[in-house]
Parts: sequence; C-alpha cells; structure tokens
Amino acid sequence: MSNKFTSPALTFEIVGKCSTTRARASILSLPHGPVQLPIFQPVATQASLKGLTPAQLAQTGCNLCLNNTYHLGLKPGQKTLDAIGGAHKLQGWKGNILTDSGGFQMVSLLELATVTEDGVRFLSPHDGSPMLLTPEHSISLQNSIGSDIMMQLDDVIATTSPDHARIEEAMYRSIRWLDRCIAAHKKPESQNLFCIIQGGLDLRLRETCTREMVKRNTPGIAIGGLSGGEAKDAYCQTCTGLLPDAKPRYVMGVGYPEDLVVSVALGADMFDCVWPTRTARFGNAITSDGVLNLRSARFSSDFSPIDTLCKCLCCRSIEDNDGLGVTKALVHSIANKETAGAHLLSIHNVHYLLNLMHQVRQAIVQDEYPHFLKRYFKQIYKTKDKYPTWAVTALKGVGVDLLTDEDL
Amino acid sequence: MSTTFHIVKPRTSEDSRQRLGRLILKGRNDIPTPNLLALATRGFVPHLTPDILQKETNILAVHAGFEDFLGPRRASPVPSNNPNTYTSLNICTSLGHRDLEISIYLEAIAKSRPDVIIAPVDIEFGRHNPGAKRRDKIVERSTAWLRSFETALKETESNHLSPAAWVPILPLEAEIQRTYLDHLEEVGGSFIQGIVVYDPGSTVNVPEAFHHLPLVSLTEPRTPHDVLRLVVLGTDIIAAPFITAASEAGIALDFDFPVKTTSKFLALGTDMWSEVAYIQHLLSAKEMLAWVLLQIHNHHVVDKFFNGIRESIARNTFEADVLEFTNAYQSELPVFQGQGPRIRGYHASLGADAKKLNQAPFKKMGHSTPARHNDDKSMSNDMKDQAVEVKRTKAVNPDVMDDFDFDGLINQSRAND
Repeated sequence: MSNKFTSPALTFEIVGKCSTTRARASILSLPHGPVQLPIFQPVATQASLKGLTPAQLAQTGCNLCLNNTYHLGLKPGQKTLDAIGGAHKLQGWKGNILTDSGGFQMVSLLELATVTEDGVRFLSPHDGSPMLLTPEHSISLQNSIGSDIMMQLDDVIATTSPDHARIEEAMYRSIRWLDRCIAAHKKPESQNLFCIIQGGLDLRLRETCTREMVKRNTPGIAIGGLSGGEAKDAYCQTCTGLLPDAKPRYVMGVGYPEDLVVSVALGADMFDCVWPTRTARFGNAITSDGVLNLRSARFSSDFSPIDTLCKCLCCRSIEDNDGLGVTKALVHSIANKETAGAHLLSIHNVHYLLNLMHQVRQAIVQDEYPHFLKRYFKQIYKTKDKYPTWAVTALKGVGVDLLTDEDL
Repeated sequence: MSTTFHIVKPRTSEDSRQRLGRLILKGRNDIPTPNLLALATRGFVPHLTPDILQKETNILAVHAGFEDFLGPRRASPVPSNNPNTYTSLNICTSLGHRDLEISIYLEAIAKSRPDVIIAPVDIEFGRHNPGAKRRDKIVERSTAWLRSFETALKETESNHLSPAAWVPILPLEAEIQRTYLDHLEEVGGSFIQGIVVYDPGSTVNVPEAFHHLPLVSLTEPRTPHDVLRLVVLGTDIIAAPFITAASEAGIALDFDFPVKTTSKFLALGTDMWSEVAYIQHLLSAKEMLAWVLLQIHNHHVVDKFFNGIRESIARNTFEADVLEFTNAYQSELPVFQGQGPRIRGYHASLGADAKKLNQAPFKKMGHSTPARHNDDKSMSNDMKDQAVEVKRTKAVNPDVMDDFDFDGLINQSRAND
C-alpha cells in the first residue's frame, strides 16, 4: 500500500495516520501551492468570497477555495474568462481554486432544470433564455476557468429522493458523463479532474459506482450527492473503506464542525460548504462553545471577543499582532445592518473552520485523534446526553466510543 | 481631549477663502486641511472592515451619527418622521424613529468618548424652508440646547474624557439666528473648537471671532465641483456623501485636481456596469465585494483630490486650477443606473411604504414566479430557523424580500452562496 500518488498536476502524500480511526494527514501539492489535508475549503461561488478581498481570504489561512462553474459560465461568461486568462487572474487570487461542475445546482435548483442524457437544461437566470450544460461544456468552461481541481459533471439528485430507479439511473449516467468529461479535458497536465461517486444512500449502488470510477484512475475522488438533508448516520455509511488509499478524498458540501471531525475519522480529506459565510450573514458566529447568534439581545453589551480561544484577525486584540479586537457587542450592533458586519463574521467563521482542520491534522500526526474527538464533543455539547446519536454510532464504527471517558 | 487648529497658510482674499491648516487631535494622526471627513453608518464607513480602512485608505477622520452613536444625526440622515420637541430630537435608529432626549445625548458624550462632539441643534432634516414660527423655535431651542451642551461637556472635563466641542451655525439667515449667534460669541472660542455648517450659505454667517477655528462642512456636495466651491467658501473639513453613493451605484470616480489633460467634457467617473472587468462581474453577480473595492478606489480618488487641493493652495494656483477643473470635467457624476449588489436593510427607510427591495434571481422553468421549496424534512435546523424568520417577516410586510427568501429558494446547506 503506497502512501504517495503522483499525477501530472498533483502529488498526494500521506504523512500521518490515526492508528484507531481511518483519519489521515496528508499534503496535496497543486499547481498553485501545497495544501495540508484534511482541509475545509470556503466557497467563493462567483469568484468572490462574500465581500472579502483576496488578501483578507489569504490571511484566514486559506490557500484552496471553491468557485462555481455554473455561475462563472453565466457571469462573466467563457469569453471574458478566456480574455482575462482564467479565474485566478479575474479575482486576483494566488492560491488554488477548485471548481464545482455545476451538477450540484441540479439538486439546489431541481425544479428549475430538466436532466437528459445530453446534459442539464435550464433557463438562464440572466435573461431567461434556455441553456444546456453538457459534460463537455462544463469541462470546457472549467478549462477556461483554469481551476487547479475540476469536478466532473454528475447527475445529482437529492439522497432523500424516494425514487430509487431515478437514483440508479443518475449513478450510471454519472459514470457515462465521467467518461465524456475525461475525453473533453484539454489540460490534464495543469488541471486535475476528480470523479464524483453517486448512488444515493444505497450502499450497493455506491459500491458499483466506486468500482467503475476507480477504474478511470482520476487524480482524486469525490463523494457527491450528500448534504441534501439526509440522515447523518446514513451519510456516514457511504464513507466506507472502498476507496483507494493514496488518493485525496473529497466529501462535497459538508461543513458543520461535527460533520467535519466525524468525516475525517471515516477517512475523508477535503470538504467545502457555504455555511460559514452564509450563516455569518445571519449574524451567527461559529465558536468553540458552539454557534452563537450574535443578533440576540444578550450580546448587546458583551464586550468579550467573538471566541476567546480564537486567533483570527477579528478576535485578536489590537495589542496582539494588530488584531481588530472585535467584540460580540460590536457585531451585535451591526449584524444584518452593515455589510462590514457580515465581512467580519465571515473572516472569523472561515478562520474557525480552517483552524479546526489544522488542529485535527496535528492530532492525527501525533496519533491522538480519538482523544481529540472526545475532547471536541465534550467542549461543544458539555454533557454526553446531548451528543448526536449519529456521531456516536459513526465513531463507534471506527473504534472511538465517545461515551467513555477513557483517555480524556 | 485637547485639539488645536494651526492655520498653515491664511486666507488671502474675501472672495476666495481657501486656506491651509492642520487639525491636531491629541493621540491621533494630524489632519492636514482641507480634507475629507469620511461618513460612517453605525461606526463603519459602509462596506469597509477596520483592517481595510487602515491598510487600504488614507481616511483620517470619520463622522458617526449618534442614532448610530455620535454627532446627533448622520450627515445624510433619513428624514425625520416626527417633529422635534423642546427636549428631544427625532432620530432614526436601527429600531425605527425615536425621540432622542437631549439630556441622554449629552450623557452619552461621557461614555462614548469621541475625539469631537457636535452640539445638537433643532434641525429637522428633510423639512425645508421652515415658516416664521418654526424658525423662531429653531433659534430658541438650539440656544437652550447649546446651554445644556456646554454644562454637560464642562462636567466631563474633570475626568479628562472631554471631547472637543464643534458647534453648528443654523441654516438660517444671520438676522434670524442673531440671538443664537450672540450666545455662541458669549460662550466663546475657548470652549468652542470648531464650527459646523449644514448648508453652504451658512459659511458667511460664521462670526469673526470664530474664523480661527476649523470650519466643518456637513452639507451634501453632489460633485467634486461642489467640494471645490466649499473650499472656496472657506471650509476646512468636508463630508462628501457622493463617494459612498457612487460606490453603491457601481461608479468608479475618476478625476484629477489639478487637471492633468487638456481634454474637455471629461466624465467624473466610469459606470463599471458598462465595462468588462472583475468589478462589472461582481456588480452583475450582486457580490458585496464590488462595493468594497469601489469604496477603496473612490476614497483613494478623493484623497488624491484633496491632496491636489492642498498643493494647489500652497502654490497659489488654486483659483486658476478650479477654473480649469470646472472647464475640463462634466458638471455631474455619471447617472446612477446600476442596481448594485443586494439592497441591505440600512439602505431603506423603515417606513410603512417599504417596497420589495430585491428581485428573485432565479425563475422556474415555465413559470414566472420564483421557485420555493417547502419540504421541511430536507431542511437542516439552521435553515428551518431561517424559514421561520421568513414567515415572520412576511407577516409584517409581505413585500419585503431579503436573504432569508433566498434560503427559502434554495433549501440546501451548500448551494448558491
């Protein structure tokens, strides 16, 4: 079993493994610099991370963020992307970019689109004209974007869909579309194309899909179609040991802190979610004491930092390396009123999740991950009766019993 | 807080009253004048986080309204709903229109510790041309409020928290506000450390005794031409609400003072909606970063503009430079056409006439109404909370649409962020 994988546009190397769970720490070297895994990737859907400048994003510690092909294909459009030389230049971003293929919008905007073997038909939100997103077009757009990691176009349907035949059809179609994507990919030497495993919550379908896609030997593997509201233990079932060891594993659309730490224990390396930036716009701060809604009146005169344990730009004091010394009361007074309030909380929330993954990585390297998990759940939930059952079950499956205090 | 205003180069003419000065606030960077007073809402220059303000702009002074917190009102306030009273000012807070008791405002001085505080006067913003009766009231109340202001501020002196007092000239003719102006002179220049005007015409009414103090404009210049006129009228520190307004409309300001070319009819800015570039993309994608970047740029242009004004005054070429600028540039900013990013709560008045602020971006295939998922089972708890919020908002005002609606549209935790 090799710990290193090299392909033209990436190197993946495992540098540490948890001796109890399936967690791994690794280095993913991409065209725009190395990335330490496990990692959380913030989502700059339309080539902008919700009001943050690229410099502000970089100083949260991020060097791999998402753009969305579907959105960039609509605006600014392929012609502009080609003229300017890709999305890195468009947004002034020196780090890595991963692009989602546009497939997810089929789940999120399901009623707005119809899927055929050709591709996805939808109305342009721009001018209402009918449009068709094919695997070839998605790849061509992603080649124009120049993303370091591209995703195949997949046929995504909600895992909660009761239509089993449709889930099966979508799984097989995703395999056919992967072949079309690979054939259409013009820059394999500088851009990595990842496959996306589909199959709903049906383990048999997931296995078939995994076997077929692994044969295609893409430089990375994603698990897709999740985060659509499925029961969390069902989701965990699908993160099985079927995947080859020496490839980066990306679970798409997962971003709650508990989901991240559990998924890492099940062997996943990469995650993305709009939640930290979106919830920031509602005045919610992700903290080591759980999520706080700072719009609540109880914070109106709370002059403590957003999170006392956090070292982000907002939470550091002015004396501490030019921090901003932002207090809960300050955020309370501007949340949902000033855009700058959303920007400050986005800086904090993104930093929180990046830093959480950094701590996760350290724990894995030191082979203390089971201990980390126990401590983490205790800190967030305080008492064991509040631990989510799905997390307890999932972690038991990889040898960690959250309900015992052993080694705490 | 002790402040000093040094006149570096005094006025040389009564017709063209520009001068150079230096405002020194203890513990702060000196402010060379003429200069910009940036305008804040809720203490923030709109769209700029403090790190960006420090690193990416040269803004030296910020005005904040007490309805957010400091000077009694914002520089461009939402028009008052109700008249002021003898003891209170009608202001627009984040919770709606409220009467601010003058005594509360004065108490807040001690707590909020601004460098400078502006005395409250009885002006009802949005109500023009007061009648004779109303004018008498303005003078009477403002004089009474100034007395309380003086007392309150002197009380804070003992604990060294005392901010500098800037006092307005009323936007009325000199003879009408005579008793008020007389009172100002009685109070005197040792207490009063700056004079504020709310309309350009008031600059002629500044009593001679205060000519050595910084003259501060909280008027509403619409263009850089207006700013130059304010400099000619002798103002030292100038608020310019058109900067943020231009940023939000997608206009990148573009002018130099003194003029650098011999061209004529130059536009004062570029409508970024008509360009093919990142900013145009951000505007049309309704991304908030468009506002951030335009604010950085536009404040930079105006900073350079004031720099040019100071150099020109120092060279004694100001009047000629103004003439040249007037001839070179169009008289108005480009027409504001773009919608900009999503309209946020603070842009809107809180009246009952609030219209739907933003249109839904996506439409259903074959339908004209926006799609909406109502499948609660597939919603995470986070989203459910937001959905409840939508219902509540709707009940109060069925036409108001905001981010919560967008979550109703897309019921996934990972979607069109």
